[in-house]
Amino acid sequence: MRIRIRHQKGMKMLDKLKEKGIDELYGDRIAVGTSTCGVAAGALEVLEVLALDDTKNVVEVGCLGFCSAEPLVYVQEDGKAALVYRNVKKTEKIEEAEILGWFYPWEFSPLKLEHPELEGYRECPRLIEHPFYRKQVKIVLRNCGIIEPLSINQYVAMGGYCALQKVLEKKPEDVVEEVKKSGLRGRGGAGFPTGLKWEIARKNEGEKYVICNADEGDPGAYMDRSVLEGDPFSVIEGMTIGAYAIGAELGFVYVRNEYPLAVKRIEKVIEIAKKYGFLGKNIMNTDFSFDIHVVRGAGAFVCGEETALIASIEGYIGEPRIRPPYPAEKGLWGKPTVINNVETWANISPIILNGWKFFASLGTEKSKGTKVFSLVGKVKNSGLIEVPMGISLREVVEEIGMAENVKAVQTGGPTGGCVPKNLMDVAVDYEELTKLGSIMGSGGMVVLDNATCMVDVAKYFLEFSKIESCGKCVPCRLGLAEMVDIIERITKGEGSLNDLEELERLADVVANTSLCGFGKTAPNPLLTTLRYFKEEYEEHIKGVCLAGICRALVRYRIVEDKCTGCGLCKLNCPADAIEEVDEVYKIDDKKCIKCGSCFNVCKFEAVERW
Amino acid sequence: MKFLINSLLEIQNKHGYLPKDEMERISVEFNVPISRIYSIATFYNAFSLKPVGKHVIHVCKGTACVMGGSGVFEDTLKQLGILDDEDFTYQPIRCFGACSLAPVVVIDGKVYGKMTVSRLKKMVPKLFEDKDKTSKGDEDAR
Repeated sequence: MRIRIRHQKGMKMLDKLKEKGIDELYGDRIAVGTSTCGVAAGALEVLEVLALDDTKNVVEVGCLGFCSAEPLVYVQEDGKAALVYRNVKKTEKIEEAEILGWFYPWEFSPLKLEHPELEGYRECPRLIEHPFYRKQVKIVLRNCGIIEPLSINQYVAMGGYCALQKVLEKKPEDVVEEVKKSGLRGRGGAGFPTGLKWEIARKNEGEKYVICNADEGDPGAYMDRSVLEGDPFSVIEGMTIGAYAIGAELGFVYVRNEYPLAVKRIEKVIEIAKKYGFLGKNIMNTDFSFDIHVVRGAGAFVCGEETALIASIEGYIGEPRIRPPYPAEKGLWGKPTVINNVETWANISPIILNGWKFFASLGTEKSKGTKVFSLVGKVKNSGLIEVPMGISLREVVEEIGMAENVKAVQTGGPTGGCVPKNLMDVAVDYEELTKLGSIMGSGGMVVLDNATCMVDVAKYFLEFSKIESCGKCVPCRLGLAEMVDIIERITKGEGSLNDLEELERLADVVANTSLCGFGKTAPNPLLTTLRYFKEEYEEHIKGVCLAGICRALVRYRIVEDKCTGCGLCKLNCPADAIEEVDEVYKIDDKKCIKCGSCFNVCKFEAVERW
Repeated sequence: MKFLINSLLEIQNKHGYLPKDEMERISVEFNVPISRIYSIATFYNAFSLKPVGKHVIHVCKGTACVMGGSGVFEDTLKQLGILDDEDFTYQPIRCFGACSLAPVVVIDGKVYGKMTVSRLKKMVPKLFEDKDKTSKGDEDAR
């Protein structure tokens, strides 16, 4: 009884924050997306210009996901919905920029939200009908780009901390049960059922910890960064719920040092949450206490592996440890530890609020809910997308990304695989992708077009893995290095067919005898390219790189008759190998590094590759 | 709560590298052998045992950037003489998470997206001319 009465005070506070948040969210404002991607596209300069008009309420928000349209600015005035402008330049008036569409700030969220009525726009399209957004279902990204990341009022107005409040009235084991039934699986890549992990930790006695894995090292993937920058409260609310469910009082966010803005934001929201009683002692006036510390990663890819990450927090080098015991039994400092990644934590509060059935109704039989992907590479619309599990790769790449001339899609980061175009009808699902030799991974999706050399792609990933191998297991440390040597030989046209067999044998050994998930999956890029693009390897062995990427196998020359003398090739030559002779340009073979820059920039097809 | 890696990162950020005396200080503070500090300093990419130059150039070697052609930027920087200059530190980085703007180059902390060889060739020398001028100006003012 006592807890109940004290708890009602917490409810009153939530109502107050919500009221303020609704005013802020739906009042007049101009919002500029200033996540790292926005900033790189020039959002801060746009913000500076807009802020000169002090009659306007100009605010900074996270990323709406559509990165290739950045800087994105939306205007919300006079009781109307938000009107989004794309690729805004600092030199032009905001009204002169291209309109992307309009949206209601609440319409992306799956939660039932209180909001005033806003008027839409008849004359321009809705954002949710844009090809980039049409197929998306947002759970994790529900608030990204909508709220000011550091505003607790706005977070609460979007349904924030209602889940924590609901959880504190429940028994911890019921919370575990709810997550278990939802079918949520770890979004870091391995796909272990989250509820089960929680249950194991809950059953263990003594001091326990929760960890948020924000060491997003996969090149080509940045969903965790975007969530930490755009909606950091959702991550710490998820962690707080997890801590309550398993009985932990201390949590850690292990975040990459390469994401300075994310580090800053997460540190700040921890401070704010403490001030409002959502973290610290006696959370929301109950007997539950929980605190979070931030630990920064120091640029080691393998630290994304959970046992390596734990070693790193403990102050050791990031070498993975033998499992079992799993961290849920014996983790940080030997205590039961639940470690989930950013996206997984951000899924928790919607599951609690809307119930497990809501979450389980999305997706496939074994993979429930949604998955965030960073859709990049050779696509027209690039950015962060959140789609229901089970959608086909083809829909993602061709309909959302509007990609043309696709050759393959690389999923799962550097230890994932390449899915060729003809197999793109595969459903996005942990098991289905594994069947093709790839993995779900943390959600990087790099689209490769016909100008890509698949042997070069495999070489790139193997080199990455060779450098990032921590060196603990011999097969991973030496096997990958040997594989790189062989594939390098092949890209120089010095390989033999025996090399292909040797590569397969080495890949098999590395995958089967390495300790951690990294070594086990590191040969994937090689194996999938060998499986689906073997003819390209054979061509290289004969000394031909059809895509013209492998430098040792190509030469360039400028056709005099076609050269207009514009000089663009010279400007773009990194090696200073192009000279002007009698108003046309010539390549100096001795200096040429065969990078193909001139070939790519020439508008008159005057550069010939042979 | 204090964490070894956090403390080392602070030193790295302050000095641009890990000076020996600071590493010894941390070893005492955390009560761990200096050998472990050294193993950490050489294991993680963020640490360096040598001072970095006045200007730091990162070229993203993430998947999207490499497929977008960031591989030639190293050649370009070499051509511009930056790789042999003590004032400059060139560090390839795995991924900045700005993949939709690939290829990305970061110069002294500022991110430049959709980089091209010609832009880099124009930008780098000019940028450093200006910077060296202003830093010299600061010194003169003092």
